[in-house]
Amino acid sequence: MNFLLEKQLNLLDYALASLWRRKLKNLGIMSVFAGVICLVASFQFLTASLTATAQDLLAEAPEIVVQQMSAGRQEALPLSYLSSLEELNGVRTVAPRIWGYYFSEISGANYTVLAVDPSVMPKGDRLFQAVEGQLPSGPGEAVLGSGVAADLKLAGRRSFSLFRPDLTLKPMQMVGVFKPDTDLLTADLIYTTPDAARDLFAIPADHCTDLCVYVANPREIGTIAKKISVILPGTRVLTRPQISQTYRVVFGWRSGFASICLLSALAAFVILAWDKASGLSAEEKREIAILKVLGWQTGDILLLRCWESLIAAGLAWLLGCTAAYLHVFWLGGALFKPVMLGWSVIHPQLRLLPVVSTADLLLIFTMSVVPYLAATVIPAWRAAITPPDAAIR
Amino acid sequence: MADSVDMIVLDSVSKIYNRGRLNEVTALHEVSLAVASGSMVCLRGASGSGKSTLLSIIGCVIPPSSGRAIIAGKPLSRLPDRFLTIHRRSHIGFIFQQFNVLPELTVLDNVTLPLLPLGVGPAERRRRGGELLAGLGIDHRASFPAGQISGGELQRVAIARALINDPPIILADEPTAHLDSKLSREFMATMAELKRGGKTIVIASHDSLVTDSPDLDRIINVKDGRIDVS
Amino acid sequence: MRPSLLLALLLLAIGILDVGLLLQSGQQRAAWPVRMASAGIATEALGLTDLCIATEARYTRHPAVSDPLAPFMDHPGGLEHFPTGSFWAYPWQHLRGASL
Repeated sequence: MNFLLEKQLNLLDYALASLWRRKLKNLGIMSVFAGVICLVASFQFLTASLTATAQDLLAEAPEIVVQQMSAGRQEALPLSYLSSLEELNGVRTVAPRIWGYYFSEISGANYTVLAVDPSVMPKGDRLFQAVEGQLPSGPGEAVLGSGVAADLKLAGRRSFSLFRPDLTLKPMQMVGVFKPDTDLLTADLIYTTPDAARDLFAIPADHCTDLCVYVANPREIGTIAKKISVILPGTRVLTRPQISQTYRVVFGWRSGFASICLLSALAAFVILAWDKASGLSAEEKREIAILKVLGWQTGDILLLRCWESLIAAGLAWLLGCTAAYLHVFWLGGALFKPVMLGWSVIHPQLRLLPVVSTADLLLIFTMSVVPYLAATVIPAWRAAITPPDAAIR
Repeated sequence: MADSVDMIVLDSVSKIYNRGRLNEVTALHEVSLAVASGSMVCLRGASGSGKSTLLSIIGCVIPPSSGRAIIAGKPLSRLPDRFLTIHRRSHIGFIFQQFNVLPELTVLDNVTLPLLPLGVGPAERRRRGGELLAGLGIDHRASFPAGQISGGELQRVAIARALINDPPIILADEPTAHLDSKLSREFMATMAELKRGGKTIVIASHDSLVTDSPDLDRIINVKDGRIDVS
Repeated sequence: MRPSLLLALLLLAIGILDVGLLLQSGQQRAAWPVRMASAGIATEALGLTDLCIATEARYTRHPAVSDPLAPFMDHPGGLEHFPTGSFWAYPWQHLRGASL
């Protein structure tokens, strides 16, 4: 036992010494490899964490959303629908909402304007806990998301103006901002009163954008959604599971493509390693032959190469994953933010739930270290099984 | 022919390279010879005569294609590579024409290379390597990279490495080809000393400084893969 | 000192760093519900359906209004939802002169 351990230590020492002898080359390979692994791992961590965060935060999204459709597009919806929905068995509350996008010509940012009467929403009575300042009540009062507040460059002022569709100015008054902890959800929001929102978007008083429907028994969401689509045939009925499904699919597409790009970078690296290692230099072949003649078994030489590759790739993996963790959860994924957030002007702070699963780490390990090991050990094995007498003469 | 005191016994040994292909070469034709334990013999022949192949078979580097080879009491004709290696490292010490040291390693590391897969720890390696280097008078070079020392010193490093496992057989392939006559004489003196210490020594060479050495017990002429017994 | 000992020390250092990060992430996860309490309230009280990840792409900000295809019509270059869009660029010369 002691002998086996001492032998492994000897081989490990020798492997480290020979890595160190070509330190420029090996450190170069390791840092490039660690960089590629860091990119792949960052991406994996970021999407996993976003998904977990979204799942966590959106568990409380509206159970059913009803929208009016016209010619395949969404339109304002008459408030008269409200009463027919409230009569349905199993429906707890129906909350009309007005919301829309406001494009700021000055900064190019897109604000999301949202108006709802909090008294009919679940936890509406506690909304003040998410806001610093007051909730909107009077005409033109609004609570701003941190991104909007920054984008408007209010600099201490509280009043600002937005354009109505006919280009007249609608004066607004900031009465509060959303707390920084809610940033991931509220950065682009202008939360105001229904009257102010109708005025801003020129929506008739008897119309709203959509209806949030809450049911008494969450298990009946599907059934009630079907009933609604029967009594209101012109509408589209979205359920919470459908919304999260859409969300997953949308991000699935994009992250799938990014993963393919990153994985091809990894594959390219391994192919490079293979190409370089399979054409063992005459010097390396000679070293293998000398070691063989001096009484090293083929297995010893393979072990030596395994140690070398495992040290290089394993360290790269460790460092790459650690760097990825710091990058995503300490630096807010600075490198990937532009990719993930697109061309947005308003960027929320990515304060993400640190989720790193063993499965992710193992996936990255099998996609990086294992092929690298194969790419470097197999050529050494081929050199080691040829009789050494020819190479050393 | 086989005798219990014979360290090396070859019986009708042939070696054919690339068998069955267009470039098939028969390097050895049914060679038979015996080398007594504790003797020093020289294989003499021009390059390409087959003496290096003969040395490789005696040194358990390659198995013979046919015939019987008994080295240090062990028949190795059909031995797989793994067992050839085990036998080689305990019974054979090699000294090469090019010395075949690894130039980036220190002298001491080169000498103790065969000990690594045997699980010998660093302290013990330093002790054994240091003793051998001291015996050959180059212990002051122990921590130098092998690529930076002179040819004569390299020769002694190669000898020290061949002796590290204390093998009964020393094989040398054109050991004096890169040495001047003074160093060549020194080398032969070292070999003679080893012979007196009980080692069996086989030197492949066509250098007259070697073949004329009075310490040689026998000269075996190799020509076109056959032994020319004289 | 043996090189393998140096490697062990290096691994130990990285290990300590990683264990530290692990502990710290555990702490963050434990503090997460408290930190996110106000975010949860905002979600429920306003009926939000999505994270504010890409504010200009309404299909990621608000899939609640996504018709199967309509949101992708809104941006002139918005073909990226289909595999085609990732391999093939929209002919931009068609957009020249169009006000975006």
